[in-house]
Amino acid sequence: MIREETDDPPAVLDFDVVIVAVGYERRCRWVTNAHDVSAKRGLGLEFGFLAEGSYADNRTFFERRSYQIVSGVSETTPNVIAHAVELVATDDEFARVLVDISSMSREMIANVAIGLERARKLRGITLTIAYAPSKFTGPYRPAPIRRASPIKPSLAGWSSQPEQPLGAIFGLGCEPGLALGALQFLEPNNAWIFRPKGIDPDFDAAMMKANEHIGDIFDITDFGYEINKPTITRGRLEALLNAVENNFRVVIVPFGPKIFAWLAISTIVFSNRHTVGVWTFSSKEQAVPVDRDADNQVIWHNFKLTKYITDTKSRF
Amino acid sequence: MLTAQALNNWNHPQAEALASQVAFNAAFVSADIAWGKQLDALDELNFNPKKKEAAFVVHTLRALVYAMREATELERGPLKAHIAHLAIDLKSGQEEQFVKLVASDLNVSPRLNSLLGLEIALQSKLSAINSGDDDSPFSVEAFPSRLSLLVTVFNGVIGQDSRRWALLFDELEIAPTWIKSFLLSGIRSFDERIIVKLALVPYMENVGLQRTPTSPHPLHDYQTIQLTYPNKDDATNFSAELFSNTFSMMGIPVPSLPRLFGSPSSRGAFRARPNHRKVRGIPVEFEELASKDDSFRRYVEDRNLFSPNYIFNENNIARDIRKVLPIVIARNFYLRRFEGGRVVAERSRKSPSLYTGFPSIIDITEGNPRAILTCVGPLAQQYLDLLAHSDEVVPIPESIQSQAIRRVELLLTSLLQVMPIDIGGFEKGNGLLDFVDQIGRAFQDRLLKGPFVTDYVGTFILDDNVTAEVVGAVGKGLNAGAIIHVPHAESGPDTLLRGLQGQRFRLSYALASRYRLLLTLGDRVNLSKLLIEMRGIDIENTQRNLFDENTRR
Repeated sequence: MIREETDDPPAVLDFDVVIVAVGYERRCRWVTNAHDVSAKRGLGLEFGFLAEGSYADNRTFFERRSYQIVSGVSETTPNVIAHAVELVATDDEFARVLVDISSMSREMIANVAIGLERARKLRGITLTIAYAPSKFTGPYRPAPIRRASPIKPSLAGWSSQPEQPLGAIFGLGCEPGLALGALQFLEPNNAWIFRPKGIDPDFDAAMMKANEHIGDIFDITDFGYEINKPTITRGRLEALLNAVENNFRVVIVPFGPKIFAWLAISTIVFSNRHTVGVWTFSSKEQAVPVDRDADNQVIWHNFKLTKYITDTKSRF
Repeated sequence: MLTAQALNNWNHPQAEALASQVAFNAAFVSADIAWGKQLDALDELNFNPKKKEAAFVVHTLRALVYAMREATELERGPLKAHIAHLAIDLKSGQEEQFVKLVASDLNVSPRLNSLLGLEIALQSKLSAINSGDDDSPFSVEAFPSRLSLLVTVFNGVIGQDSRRWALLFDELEIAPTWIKSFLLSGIRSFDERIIVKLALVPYMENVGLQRTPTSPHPLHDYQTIQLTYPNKDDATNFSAELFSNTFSMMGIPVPSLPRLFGSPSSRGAFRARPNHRKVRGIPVEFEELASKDDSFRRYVEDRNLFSPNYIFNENNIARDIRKVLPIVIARNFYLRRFEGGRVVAERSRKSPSLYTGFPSIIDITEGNPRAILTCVGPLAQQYLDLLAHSDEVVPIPESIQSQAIRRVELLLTSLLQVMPIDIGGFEKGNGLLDFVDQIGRAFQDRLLKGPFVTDYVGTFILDDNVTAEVVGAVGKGLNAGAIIHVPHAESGPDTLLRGLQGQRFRLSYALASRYRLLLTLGDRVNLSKLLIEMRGIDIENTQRNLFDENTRR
């Protein structure tokens, strides 16, 4: 259960655990640096490939702050995260955790959510998510898709009624034709589209152009969302899931801003919606690395996760 | 569509004649990629492949029980006379007897001794398998006997021992490998009361039909129906009907598709033209191309085409004009100047207007219903808007048709963009769209980059000199509809299930405008040769250089 959800900036930026990505973007360290974030325990999640661009600088930056650099995309990542949260000494019964998702892959975000979910067996968590949108760097260059599947096996979803129609919830991004291709790949009977409205009109224009024919080809229901209002957006997503989950087998494909991926994954994992699948269409190591800068602002998303009582079972 | 309920709901002029011939009750065994990945996840999370097989077996059994329930409910509701033979009068005592007889063998304990109760119990079993319940009673080995048990008991209870049942497997490619193997190869010795319909993609990586004495034999044990059309003419009737129906549904009457899409006399497109047997003369594109392409000028001069003494008989027209006309149209459209064996200047034409008009715009949809709807839906709306502001009925403008052609191309390229492949080697990092692009650009180079030749090459043979990864990439292109099989005249419709190598293929006409290709099959070339050409390796010179080097030593 997600409680006390807000979009407010945190009053204090000292955390028990801080989790960041250590990748090729300069943006990886922007939130930590610009907001002078401090952590009792820091975890830097790396990709294991594409160690180029600002990777070396990022690694040095976080190592100097005593962050432990670990794989963000291995099978053990959720347990590493869970242990970090479980073992850290805290002043409160709730561990204060900050996750900077700005440069994380969707798989990393899923590992973080699953790790935090596992930690709830031992303690509650006061969670703060930071998302620093990037500066617009021009047209998106498509890269071949290496993986079209659920983000993780535990996020495949499940249905004991495979004859039910498939419903797909899509977030839209700026990659030309990607959402259209994914829609054809999955062939849902119904599709609900979440169209982001950002803080930069260049992104909005690129997103519209990249997805201009979807409505001509698929019968879709269109929702707009503002990326700097995560709580409202997650509420809409949850309400939509409540409305359609009984009549459809639902999969979510969170293209677009990472904040949407976070909202989708956190809703599934922390509400234990194990029937809903979350998919990725990822270029993995074939991605074209672009060393993006942050656009000098942070979108915050905070909530509390209570500690599980002993007999509560989580699929994750 | 073949289930009893669907047939009872089917309203069509031919419904009575066709549905009355259906001599079985059908169970639809649904599947899709999302369900397939959920089965894979079951395997990955439990490290036990038996779980996903068990889930598929339970799903199939439940579908059969549902078909039985559907047949009994049909009897109780409004029923068309020609479907009466598919309805089953099952008394409640018989229903209870049936469930009691099968429940323990199916390892379920229904709370209600009814077909619905049995169905719900099987659904719970499917959930339980996902949660770690025992899956051993639903092994692939037990699959045929469980199906036979249900049919034997049900038929026995209703007193119709030989009643037939059909299992309609949708998207079989997602089924676990052992299930696929059983259905494709073990079906010969299966229960005669059970008919199986397998809907599957043309290429599957890990399973296919075998040729052993015990394997199923075509026509004896199974029949294959292809759903793609190697020759565009095969698709024309179906596509034209769907085009017309879609227009009609949107309030646009269609007395003639050729008139709606453009006059046959229009120039600068592959559209239908007057029959050259009747019209004597050289098409104007011949004169235009000869003035800017010296390789074509030689062709014209060799045959004296512009001479007043040229004899316009059927043989000459067929050989000299009709055969090369599409090539001439394409080169004339895209080339500005060709001299000394190379393109000096080409026209930067991005519009697909060459492919507008009838029947080209129909051909590019390949008889694919989604492509047709993608093409016609928005096009019809734009046309209606145009008619609302026009005093007369005009053909659909070229610009609107061009947008529709682009949409059909986008439909296919966007799908290719998300299909993962791994070609490896020095192709590492390329996707399926890159792979198909290589083939398309190679055909384009032969048509437009070199001197004029009378033989267009638009098909390839998947020869033995390519890697297994390339065969897999062709297979995935085939499944996506970007590559179309062109069967040899003597081959059967199930040829592809026995392997792709040695077969002939073309690219979908939906991609013709992307690569500036003709809407004809043309001649063939080995894929290995085509790919080597595109990688910039000059085989002849490379071999000669190697030979020279060896000679010098």
